[in-house]
Amino acid sequence: MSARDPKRVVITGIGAVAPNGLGVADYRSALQAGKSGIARHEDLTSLNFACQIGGKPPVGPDEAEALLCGPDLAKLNEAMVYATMAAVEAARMSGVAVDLKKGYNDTPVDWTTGAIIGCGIGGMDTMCDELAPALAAAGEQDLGMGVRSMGTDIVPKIMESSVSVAVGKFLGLGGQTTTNSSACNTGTEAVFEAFKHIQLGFADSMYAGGAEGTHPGTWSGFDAMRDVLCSKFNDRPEKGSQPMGAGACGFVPAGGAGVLRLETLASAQKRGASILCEVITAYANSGGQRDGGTMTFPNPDGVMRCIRRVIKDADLDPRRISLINGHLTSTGADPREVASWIKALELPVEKFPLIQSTKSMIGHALGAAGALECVAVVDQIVNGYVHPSINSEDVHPQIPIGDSIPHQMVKKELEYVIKASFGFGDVNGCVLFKRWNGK
Amino acid sequence: MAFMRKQAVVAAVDLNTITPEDAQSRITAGVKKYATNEANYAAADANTPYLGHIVGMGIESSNLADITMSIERQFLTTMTARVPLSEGSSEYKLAAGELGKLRILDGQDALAATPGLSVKMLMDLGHMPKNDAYLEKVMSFAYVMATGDGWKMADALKKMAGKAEKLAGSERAEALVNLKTLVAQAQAYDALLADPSKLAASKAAGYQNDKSGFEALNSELALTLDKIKGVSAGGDAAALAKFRGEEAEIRTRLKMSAAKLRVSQEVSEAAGLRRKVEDKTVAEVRAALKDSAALAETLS
Repeated sequence: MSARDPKRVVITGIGAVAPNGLGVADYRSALQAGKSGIARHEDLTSLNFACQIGGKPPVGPDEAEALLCGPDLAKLNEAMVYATMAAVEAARMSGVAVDLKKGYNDTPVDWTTGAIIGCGIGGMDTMCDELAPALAAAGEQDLGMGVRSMGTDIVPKIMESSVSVAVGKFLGLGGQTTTNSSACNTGTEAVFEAFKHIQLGFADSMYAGGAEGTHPGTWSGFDAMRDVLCSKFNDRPEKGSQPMGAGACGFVPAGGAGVLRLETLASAQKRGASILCEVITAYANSGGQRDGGTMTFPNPDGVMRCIRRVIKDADLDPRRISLINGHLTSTGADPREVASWIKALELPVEKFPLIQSTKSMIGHALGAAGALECVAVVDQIVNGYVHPSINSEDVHPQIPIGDSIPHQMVKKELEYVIKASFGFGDVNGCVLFKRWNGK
Repeated sequence: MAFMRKQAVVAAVDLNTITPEDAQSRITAGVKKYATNEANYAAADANTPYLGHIVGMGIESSNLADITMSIERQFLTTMTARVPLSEGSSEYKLAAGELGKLRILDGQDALAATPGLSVKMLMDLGHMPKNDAYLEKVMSFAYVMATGDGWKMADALKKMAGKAEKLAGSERAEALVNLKTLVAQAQAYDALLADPSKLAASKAAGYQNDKSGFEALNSELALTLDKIKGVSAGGDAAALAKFRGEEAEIRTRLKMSAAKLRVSQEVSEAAGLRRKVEDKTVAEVRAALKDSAALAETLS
């Protein structure tokens, strides 16, 4: 086979650091139970944010130090910690032994594996809590000493590629290791990029996903925009994220990380790895910020073209789609997104597949959103269930497919599941997953 | 960082009031948060190199600057008066003055490769009294470097032998050829370590190379300065800008070359002066080199 013959790509591992669960098992339990990870946070209250609720993963020093030793931890920003945790879980699930507390530097380089781990905004905790104070005091220092107090770890913690290089370092990856960034489409786009990379023969396997921190600085810009974040449910945080609901009043910001290990079928079989599902195809495009598309709103035609392209490339009858995992953020854009799905799938309302929003429980994790949602999709395919889309019992009046929204967990064998994400800048991404049937 | 537990702030102490051993233990404690090799850090003594994963504490080279800053934060000194190096110069040296914050100037930490050598640096710079009894227990920078090179060579040889063992056919044959070369290099290095005079001669040759490079750069700078002089008189602004750019570039290279030269000079001068404190480590490295070579030679 030449280096450029397309290859079948499967998923052999997933990892999740989500607001409602640390690790895939907890994440699954929470998703199945319809458990929200959204809470009110003191720091947002003290800053007088309009939106004082958010989704922060249950990770503190104990959880971080259980995986990483102190000096390594000191070199990481929040998103890097989440990315590392999720990637290590995905690696272990795929059969790769990882012990970050025991001489990982001595493990051999895996020359056939790389990583595309995206990030939406990056090391905001480092920028705000370490860099900004040192910069503010720089004028008072001696000549040449202005910013020396920052120490030498600042750059690796604020560079865009911080999340992917952390994963590359801890897992010893020798393939291309890079970070993509396309706002809220980042995580889904990473899966697309990794899929493409493997199909073209540039790597046997890739870790793909996204990570995002939860510093108020990351969320502040959204809070400054009117009606983008949810500000009406500060006293009932778990009700704040209502994708497709009549009361949706803005998204709930969140953070975390999701990582998937994509691999050629041949490589997975050769290693004897458990195959979780197959990635049939994927695509990403942009609406060009025309025809209704703006910096913050997607061009509906671009969305539709992105979804249709995936269905066409897979040569798939849309009736075989068991589930849609939408972008669906709990904003005024939800009805428009659903309209695009309806148009793209060209199915009558009564034949429309189930449609869900993972964000109803975890909020909008920005650069990690698509990845956490892809992880949820894979887990649902493997374990045969559809998680509920909570807080949408009262469906938005402009959404005509209310019967397709699961309000409780449904046990169901899924065949094809389609996942899409859309981001600021009018960018779109879509991935089609298929249950692994053993051949 | 979001997940780091708050660390206690250590009050700075006057270097003239503590023993070298106390200074060493404070320095080592300050290094802890940068050392990724926990086992080595836990067993670190005066002679454990900061750098490296094989024998050192696993500190990344970029963090050496953090170690210097950590040392600065922990100690007070009376060497605080700034004396300009020449009239009107912004560059200065430190002289005796009021008790104040410790300041390590650019380049002064170039040889502080272990906690013991950091204490030696403080003594050499006059921040704390010289203590010959303590310094007797501190390996010289030259031997930290020389034995470090030996460890790396033994480790590389061992790893390559392990890899070659798993290969077959032409790949194995190629690996064995490379292994043979590496075995010869390890044996030659073992012989060098065995004899301080040979080691000194070898390091002196390295120093001479660095010195030649430094002198060549100085000549290049002189030539460029001459050109600037000539062009300045003619008033050709474009040519002047070009030569000024060249001058800046040469000066940067010179600065790096000078730092390298200082290190190789130190190594060259001290390589022949082996003391008791270095004998044990040299013996360990030689044994490691021999073991690795013997392991490699069992493969065919």
